[in-house]
This record gives sequence, structure tokens and C-alpha cells, in this order.
Amino acid sequence: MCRLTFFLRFSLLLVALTGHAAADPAPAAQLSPADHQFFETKIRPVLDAQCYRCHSEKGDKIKGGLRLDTRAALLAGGDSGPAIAPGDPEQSLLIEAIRYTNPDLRMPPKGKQLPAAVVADFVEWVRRGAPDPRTTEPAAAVSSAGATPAHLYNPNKEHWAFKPVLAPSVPPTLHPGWCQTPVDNFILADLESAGLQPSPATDRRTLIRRITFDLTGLPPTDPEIYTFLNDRAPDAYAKVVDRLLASPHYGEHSARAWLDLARFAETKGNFKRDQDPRYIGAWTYRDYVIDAFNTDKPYPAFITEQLAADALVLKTLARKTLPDDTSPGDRRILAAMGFLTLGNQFDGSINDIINDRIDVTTKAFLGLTVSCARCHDHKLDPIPTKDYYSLYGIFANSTRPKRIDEQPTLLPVTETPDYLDYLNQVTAFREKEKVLREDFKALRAAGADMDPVKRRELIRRETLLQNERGDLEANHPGSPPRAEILSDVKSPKDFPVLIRGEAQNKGDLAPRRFLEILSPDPARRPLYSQGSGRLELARDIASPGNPLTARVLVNRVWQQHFGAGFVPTPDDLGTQSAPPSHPALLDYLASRFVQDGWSIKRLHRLIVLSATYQQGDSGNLAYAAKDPDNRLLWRSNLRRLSLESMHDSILAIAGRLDPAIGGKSVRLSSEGFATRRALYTFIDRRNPPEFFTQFDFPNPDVPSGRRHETTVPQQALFFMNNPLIIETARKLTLRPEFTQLTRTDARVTFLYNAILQRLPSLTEVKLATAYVNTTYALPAKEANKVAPAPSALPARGTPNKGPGRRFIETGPVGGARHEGPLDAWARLAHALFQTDEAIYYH
Amino acid sequence: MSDHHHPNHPCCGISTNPEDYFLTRRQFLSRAGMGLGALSLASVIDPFSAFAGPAATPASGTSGNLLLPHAPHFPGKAKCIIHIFAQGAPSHVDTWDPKPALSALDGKTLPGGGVAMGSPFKFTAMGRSGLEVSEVFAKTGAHADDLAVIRSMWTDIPAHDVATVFMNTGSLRIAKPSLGSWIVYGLGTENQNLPGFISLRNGGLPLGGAANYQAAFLPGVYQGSSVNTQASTVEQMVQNIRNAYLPAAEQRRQLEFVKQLNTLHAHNIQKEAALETRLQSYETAFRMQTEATDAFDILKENEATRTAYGNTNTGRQLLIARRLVERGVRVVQVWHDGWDHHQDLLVKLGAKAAEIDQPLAALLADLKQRGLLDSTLVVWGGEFGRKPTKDRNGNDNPGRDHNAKAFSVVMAGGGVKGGVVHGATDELGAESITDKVHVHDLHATMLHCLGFDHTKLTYRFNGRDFRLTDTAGEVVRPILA
Repeated sequence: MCRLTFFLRFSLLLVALTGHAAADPAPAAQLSPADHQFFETKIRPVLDAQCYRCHSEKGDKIKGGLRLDTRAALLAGGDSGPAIAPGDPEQSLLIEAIRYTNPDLRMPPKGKQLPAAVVADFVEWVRRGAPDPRTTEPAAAVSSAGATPAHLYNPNKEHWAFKPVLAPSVPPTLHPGWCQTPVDNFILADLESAGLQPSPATDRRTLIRRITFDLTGLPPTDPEIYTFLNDRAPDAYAKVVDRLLASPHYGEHSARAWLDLARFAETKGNFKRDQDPRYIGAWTYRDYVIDAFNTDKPYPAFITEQLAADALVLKTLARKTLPDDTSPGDRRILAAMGFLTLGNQFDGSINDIINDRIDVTTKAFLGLTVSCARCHDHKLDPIPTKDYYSLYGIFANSTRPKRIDEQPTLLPVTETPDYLDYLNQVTAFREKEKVLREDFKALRAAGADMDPVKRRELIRRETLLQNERGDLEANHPGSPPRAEILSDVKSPKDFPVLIRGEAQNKGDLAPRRFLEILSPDPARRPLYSQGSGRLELARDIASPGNPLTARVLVNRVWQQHFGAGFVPTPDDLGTQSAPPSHPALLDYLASRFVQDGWSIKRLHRLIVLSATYQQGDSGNLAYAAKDPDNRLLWRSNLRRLSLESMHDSILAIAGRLDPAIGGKSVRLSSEGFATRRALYTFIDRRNPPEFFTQFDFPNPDVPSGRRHETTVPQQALFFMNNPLIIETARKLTLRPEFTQLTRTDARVTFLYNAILQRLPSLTEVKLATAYVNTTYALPAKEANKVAPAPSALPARGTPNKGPGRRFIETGPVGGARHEGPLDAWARLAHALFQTDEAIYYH
Repeated sequence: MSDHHHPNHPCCGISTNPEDYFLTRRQFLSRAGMGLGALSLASVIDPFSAFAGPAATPASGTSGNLLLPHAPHFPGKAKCIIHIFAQGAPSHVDTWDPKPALSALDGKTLPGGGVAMGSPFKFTAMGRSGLEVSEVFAKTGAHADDLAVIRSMWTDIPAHDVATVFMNTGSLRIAKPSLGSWIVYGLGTENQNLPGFISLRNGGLPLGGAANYQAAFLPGVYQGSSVNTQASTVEQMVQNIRNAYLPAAEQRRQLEFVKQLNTLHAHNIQKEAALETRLQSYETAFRMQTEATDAFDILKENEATRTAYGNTNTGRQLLIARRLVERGVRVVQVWHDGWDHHQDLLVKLGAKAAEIDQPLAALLADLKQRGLLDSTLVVWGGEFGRKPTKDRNGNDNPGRDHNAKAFSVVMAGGGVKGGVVHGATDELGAESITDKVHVHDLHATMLHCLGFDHTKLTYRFNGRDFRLTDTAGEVVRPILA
């Protein structure tokens, strides 16, 4: 009787399962976090505790031929058929068994009935489609670290991003004539199979504004626009692209995105108090990145220099001491190591500093969150704790110079008068340091009777002295550019796993080597033997065989041009990321990128010359309903300018932008901020300027590959009231090109052209004219009577010297001062800066 | 739209249709023409007429304004919340969770490893309830009979950045909306001239940055506005709050002109929500100029009140917090960081607690005296707790290391009982064992105090209904009033 029922059910189940087979309701790679958590908290512990002893690979025996330790095994079932029918608890044998309703099928056996709440959880789980992350268990369940209960370590090695990059062939389409680069074939093929068509190409003005902002972060100039509009050659647009890629402003714009990723800031966050808060060589890293993009440094070199320039330079020069060598060319790449060194100092906590270096390295280059494996095997990605400590060992064998004088200069110094004066001051500084050291010695001689007041005073003196040195480096015109480097320790060694991340809880040694999941032969991973192993790590990351490196970079570049990458989380391509929107195109571009010599400029070209990129917006409402997020790219996306582009374009429009590239940073409240590009602004990581954070500048303590786009009233207040923007608007109307115009419509046209890079419509001219005329008609008193300044609160400043030293900007942004009443035209220019169009582009 | 409730609001069945938030072009234009646009044109004559009172009248046209007040699922006792975030993970055994057994073992090596460290601080039973309070919170302890102390908190990961963001968003990795954003999404806000959710920071950004007050996938209007209360003038605190060039009427005319130009040019479908959010942000900004200048100006308080709060940074923060909730701001997050005491706990924790003790006591007294405590939920707590043992880093002047398994949270005011202790840690304070309360449970409880069933306050995103408490969360009923 019983068997018969099972047989019937089995047939039914087969039907059900066949139905499910085509569209598995919850393939592991697409588990939602909620489903994942539900399984891990409600289901797995029960299976583990109640079932695995008899129904798993690891169990004592496998009863009834049924295993419950993988999803596949559950679906395959045992002697009585599949254990579950995903989505249908009533057809699931497992549910019937744990309900204890069928006297012939009761599990767990011998009256150990599960509580009703647990049964309800299982019913809910099956109803949801039995979402189950266990694809590769039980083999992968054997944790190498031994730090985590095996059941928690459940890496998904089948995840697409860990598989080799394919070189897919370019797909055919119904309208090959539309395609301008192979990118278009992939996009169009997907659009066609979804029954959509791309939008027509956008107009030339929109296009040149789009490409100029995308590649340089600046608006096109008037002559640039007109050259393009008047160039009827078929390659007119390609010429624009090549001009922009050759512009040094391309490197600046690309660098800013990379600096977000490198969690770049110029101060140490929480630092030991015997130092100055600043990284005096931070700006040289920024300039290195600009230069790397401008010279189109092949990506492997870019990676290797940022991780191990010291090893490259040493190898070239075969010398041991960096500061004294005088070979120019090579040593400039030492600046690249700011990538590793410019993080928070975490009160000198070495484990946290190393964690930060692991985090920035793996997120930036690999799109992996390896730092999750610090305390336990990564619960979601195949990163065992032991891998984390393999990387830990690499960075634990690398140190930063303790003193500024030990930081290598980037160029051989020429003995200019400035430099000689700088040297004199350094000598004076060393004298003071020597005196202080003597005083410390005298204090320590007292031993246990050390005077605490005196000790505190000496510590304070030391801090002030270090501040003085920092000021000298930061402000003296003769101070030489220095690199923020790491170098290897004398006798590198391996470090043990720290169980649960606790320093006192040491496990097995974790040999320095590459991550298991990214190694061609995980069982025979080469051990790193050259010094710390950073150079070998860099080479493994930059290897063409690495499945992640090229994909992650391509995804970032795509995001730069379309607002979102194929994978929307650019720093995480692990199992928790959404699957790519265009997997084949991503792989095509990744393989092309490697074939093209890892040239980022060629990658940009391939993308932006596509018809896909040059689309307009057909405004097709049916398409909008079908694909509201434009994932298939049937039209252009509306894009918002970043903080930096917004700032830079305002200055450029008013003719105030200094085109110089690189150099020491400028303070937000200095006039430099009103002339230099925003990426040259000094950032104190403990106090990023409020102006920046209000416009989504990312927290410089963590790598960030994509900024938020928030809209808050404070942004509106900036546009409405800030003297920098208002005075810049005024300056635009004081330019002779403007003042020489006498006709109202000509003036309106000038302002539209300058601020929005287009001509106004007749309606717009009319509205603007009316606005200006009404202003003129106002009596002066009514036009200029403003609210009084608010009262000052009792001052609550923090000291600007000593351990609490912070770099808080209190002066007006860009040092802008109120320069008197605004006339009607300045008010019009200010209004145009406030329009949506001024900060959005298509 | 005759109902004053927003149609997407939970009380009316929350919308699961993204289009309700991402407007079509047609909807956008009609709203620009007849909804907000019309409203704003009306305000040319009197910029403040349209939003005269705390609750907008039906006539003012609610279309598009997601911030108008809504009723929650059931009448909540609390109408607003002040969440004081003691960032850095305060030691519970030195503040709200006395452990005599630990003191008895002071200096001894524990079986589980580590050297026991009894609290250097004395605990005293205070109030009629006899709630035991550490001497470092003596002033706050005077309000013992108003406090509900949860001693059995636990969280997932003892790393500051992750746990801080987790306490504020209920999410470990994925960017999810913050508690404050969920609350304003659910309730709207009473004062349309100030942001509904304000985060008061003391100098730099909090650890985890804007993630702690982000709207994530909720519409941007629900994002917290971060204000640096360390600044020395209101103008620096709320930057650009004053226009030094244009009289208000002229600025209004300029903004109307800008709006006309925007409407002429609006021609994109999918991002119109962003553009409408921008339009609203201008409206709020315009009104903030008057309202915020007043709200953040603590010189408007008398000397006695300012002294009661203590003339310190933290005192100023809490005084501003009171001024904000008094004006109908829904959520005020107060950052009080620096509780990470690995070393020198005796001095550092004492000093840190002293910064907040008097202001917190003053806040409770002040809210009570103004009749606001019953409708304001005040929450104090950090992201996790600390170990009962000495941290190995500070041998001479010991501190304590991180501990995710146990910490305390203190609540007072709207919706909670006073003079109660909920749950317990083991006898050394190493781990919560009785009536454990996870971060999700705390969130569920806070939402309950405001009138929400935490399982029903949801938002559809990426094809799934998200909620603050994910798939977990149980209301801590014993502490409810």
C-alpha cells in the first residue's frame, strides 16, 4: 500500500520536477540574501543536527539511499523518490515524513518528532522553492582553516565569475547595418530577442557633451562643439574620441574614479600620536594614477606597480637602500604604492592595517570581499580563512618607513635655493628631535618613578614637532616629492591563521600564496618565495588566466559609460552579486581587453564608438514598461555629474579653470579650490569636507567603486546660496565676450551656450528676457535687501595642533567672498547653473 | 487624491509597484503642472502658506510629496525617535550590566582563556525600581524609573564598521535603507520645512559613513541629512543656509523661473523620479532657510537650559535633538563616538560616559517637563559589547576587547516601560543567555513603539519585498508600556 502510494507520487513528482527543470526556482547562484539566511538559520542547522547522521556523505551510513546534504541529492531523492518537490510542500515526502502523519514514514525516527515551528519552517522553505545554496558540498564543506564549523563554509565554486573568461564569437543580428563595433552585435541580439529595438542616434550636441563629460569630466568648449558640428567626415566622432583620450584631462577624470577605489585620502585617520596626521607623499600617488591613465599604462603594469613597485625598482637597480639611489626613471613608479599605504592607520593596529590592505587589493583588482574571511571562512564566496592569512602573511612581511627621511624621493633632487633652504630647516628639525630624544632618555632613566606629567609633556612636544615637520613637507616650496612606499622585511616568514580573527588564538601556518579559487591548480599552488611575495601576488592577479581581473576592470569601464556596469556591484563579483546583464559581452570585452595589450584606452574606444553608446532616447513607453531600468540598453541613460565634474564644469564655464595637471593639493577654503580641478582638493579622511559628502563623495575609509546618487536639500542649498557658485556666475557675466553683447537675446544665447552647451529655444529666450526685465524693474532696495547673518554660537573648535589635529575647513568654499549686489544678468546665470540640465546629461 | 494618506502608504496597503515611485513621463508632467508645480506657484505669494501646519490639509494636494505625515499600522505611543549611537562598542559590564561574580574573579585566569577584569566602577540601585546603574551614568540613573535596559543584546560580527552599519540598517553587506529612512518612509514627517530624518555628527563622518543614514533603494527623500554640530555657527552647521545676495521673494522668483526651465526641458522617462526628488529638495531647501536657522540655534534657549545640558559638544547635540523633535522632525540620530576602549578603560570609559551622562539626563528631564517624553522614544546603545577579560594590548592600563555576544541597550520614553531590565548575560557578562535580543529584535521593537508591525513595513525592490528586519525580528514585549 505504502509502496504503491510512493510509486504514484513518484510519477507525479517526475512531472513536477520536469516542469521545474527548465526554470529551477532557486538556482544557488541567484539565492536572495533572505532566502540564504532562511536556509542557514532555519533549515541547515536542523538538517545538520537531525538528519545528516543517516543521510549524508559524512554520516555513519546512508539510509534509504537518501542524502540530504546537497540540493541535487534532495531533488534526486532516495529509494522512495525525490525528497522534495520545490514549491509544493504537499507533494514533498520530506514534509510528509517530518509531519509524522503517515505511520510508515516518520522522520526523525523513534518518536524524535520535530517541534511544530520547525516543521512550519520546512514547509515554508519548500513553498519558497527550497532555495538551497549547497551546490558543491560536501566536498567543499571541508574547511581548511578549521576555524569555522564545516556546515557554515559553503562556497559556490560554480559561480560564473570564477570560471575562465570565454572569448565568445560575435553574435549575428537581424540588422547588422546598425552595428558599428562588435559591442553592438551583442546588445542588438539581446534587444531583438526581447522584441525591442535600439533608439535612434542622438544629436551631435548631446553626443559631444556626453562623451566629453564621460571621458574628461568636463563640458565641451564652444570651439570643440562647433568643430564637431561642422565636420561632415564619417570619422568626425572618432576624431573627437581620440582627441579626448589624448587629453590630459582624461587621466584626471579616470584617476578620480580609481582614487575612490583606492580609498584615497591624505591623512592617516586614527594614527599614533608620535606622527603628523598627514601622508606627505599622498599627492604623488594621485599624480601617478593620473599619469598611468594618460600614458595608457598596460593594466598588468598598473597593478604590479601599485602592489610591488619597490621590488621592480630594486630589481632594476640591484640595490638595497632606496632613499639614496639616484636613478631617475624607474623610481617614479614608487609613488604607485600609495595604493596600499594610504589607508587608515587604525591607531597603529597592525592587524587592521593589513586587513585594510587585503581589502583594497582584493576589491579593486578582483572584485572580491576577501576581508570577510578574516574571522571565519567566507560564508558566501569560496574564500577560506586560510587564504586570508596567506595574503596576511604577504602584507605582514611588508613595512612602511617610520620616518619621513626614509621615504624615497621620486626624482633626483636639484640643489635649488628653495631646496637648500628646505634642507636647512630639516637639519634644524633634526636638532630639535635630538634634544627631545635626550629628554626622553632622561625621563626613562627615572624608571618606575617616571614623572607622568613630564612624560605627557614630552609626548606633546613630540607630536608638535612632527606637525612642524609635516608642515614643512606640505608647505615648503623646496620639499621634494616623496613616495609612500612599503618594502619587504629582512627575513620574511609565514604567519598562522588567527582563529576567529583573534590575535591570541593561533592556528596552522598559512603559507604565502595565491587564493585557492583563482589558482589554475589549487592543489599545487606555488608558494611565494621572493621577499614578502607582493610581486608574485601582483603577477598572479595580473595574469591573463585570472578569471576576475579583466572582467572586473571591464565592468568598471562599462559603468563609467552607462551609469551601471554589467554587474551593478563593481567591487563584488562574488556569489552575492547579481548575474551580469550581458555575460557574453562582458567576456568578449574582457578577452579583447587582454588581447589588445590590456589597453584601457582601446577598451574605451571599443565601447564609446558603438552605436549603443551613441543612442538617443526613443521615449518608447511600451519599452519603458518592459525594461524600466534600461538593462538591455534600448536607449541612453540620464546621468548626473559627479561632485568633481559639477565643480570643474562650473569653473570651466566661467573660464576660471586652471588646466595644470598634478601637484600638491589645495585646501577647500583656499582660492586654489576656485581654480583647480576638484580632485586636487586635500582630503582629511576624518573630516572629508561637508561640501563633498553632501554630494556623495564616498567615505575614504573603504574602497568604493560606485558612488551613491542621493538628492538632499543641502545640495539645493549649495546651488541656491553658496558664494562660490554665485560669484562664478557673476564672473561669467563680466567676461568681455559677454559684456560686449548688447542685444538681450544674444546675451541669453551666450549664457545658454556657455552653461548648458546648447542654444536656447524661442520660449526659453522669452522666459529669460522676462526674468531679466522684471529684475531691472525692481527698486534697488527691494532687489537687494537680504536676511541678516545668524548669530554665532559659542566656539567649539578642536585644537589644530597636537594629537587631536584635524583639518576642518571653516572658511568659505574656494575662499569666495561676497562681492556686492548681483545684477539681473548674474542672477540669470546663477539660475541657469541651478537647472537640472546643468548637472544632468544624456 | 482626496484621502490625506499617500496611496502608497502601508496603512492603505503598501505599493509593490515600482511605477508608483518611478513616475512615467506623463505622470511627471501632470504633477509638475498641477501638483507640486501649482502648489509652488501658490507659494510665490506667500511661500509658507501651503505648509502652514504640521499636517498638510487635503486641499494642499499630496501628490508627489512622499513626506507628508501618514498613520502607521496601529497607533504607536512614540511619534518620533532620538537614537543616540554610542559608537565604538561601550562595555556593558561597566555601564548597565553589573557583574559581581566577575569582580570576585578579578585578575584570575578564566577557564575559557583570558584574565578576568572586574569593573572598576561601582553600581548602585537607583530609583524606586532599584535599577542598578554604574557610577559613570549616575546622572542618567536619576531617571532609572523611566529607563528600560536590555541586557541581553547580541549581534553578528564584532567589527566596528560592519556592526555599526548593521545596527543602523539591519544589513551586513548589502546596502539597505537605514532605520530612520524606514521610519520616515512609513510615517512621513510632521514638519515639511525640515528634513524628516536628521543625523547629528560631531565633526567627521561616522564609521561606515552615509550608509548609516542612507535611503538605499527607498526614494532619496528618505535619506537622513547629516549635520555637523561641532560647527560654531548655524551657517556652518547647515552650510549654505543663508543667501547673502537675494531677498526671499527674489529668490522665490528665481526658483520659480528655474522650475519653468526644468519643466520645459524634462524629457526623460526613467529618471524622472530623480528629477522630481530634486524639485522637492529645492522646495525643502527654500523653507529650511528660515526653519533650520531657528531650529539649530541653541542661543534661542535660555542660559539655564543650556547649562543643564552642559556647554559641551555632546550637550549641544542633545539640545539640538530636542529642538528638532519638538519641531516635528521624525528621526534624530545622534553620533557619540569613541567608545572603543581596548586600553585604559578606567580613565577613558569614565571620561566618555561623562560626556553623555549629564546631557542625557538633561534631555530626559527636559522632554518630560515639556510633555514630549511620552511621544519620543529615546534609545542609547552601541554596535556590540565587550569582553569580561582584559584586552592583551593594554597590560598596565587594561581595557576590553570586542564582544558580539553581549551588550546592553537603554530605552526610554514613548512606548517603553520604565525601571525595567530585560534579559541577562551569563554571570561574567561574556554572553547573553536569557531572553536574548538580536539587533533585528531591537529594530522590531523600535518600529513597534512607533506603531508598525515590522513584518508589514515593506518595500518592493528587485522583485522582492524588503523590510528592515529581513526575515527575522521579534518584538521585545515585556518592556512595552
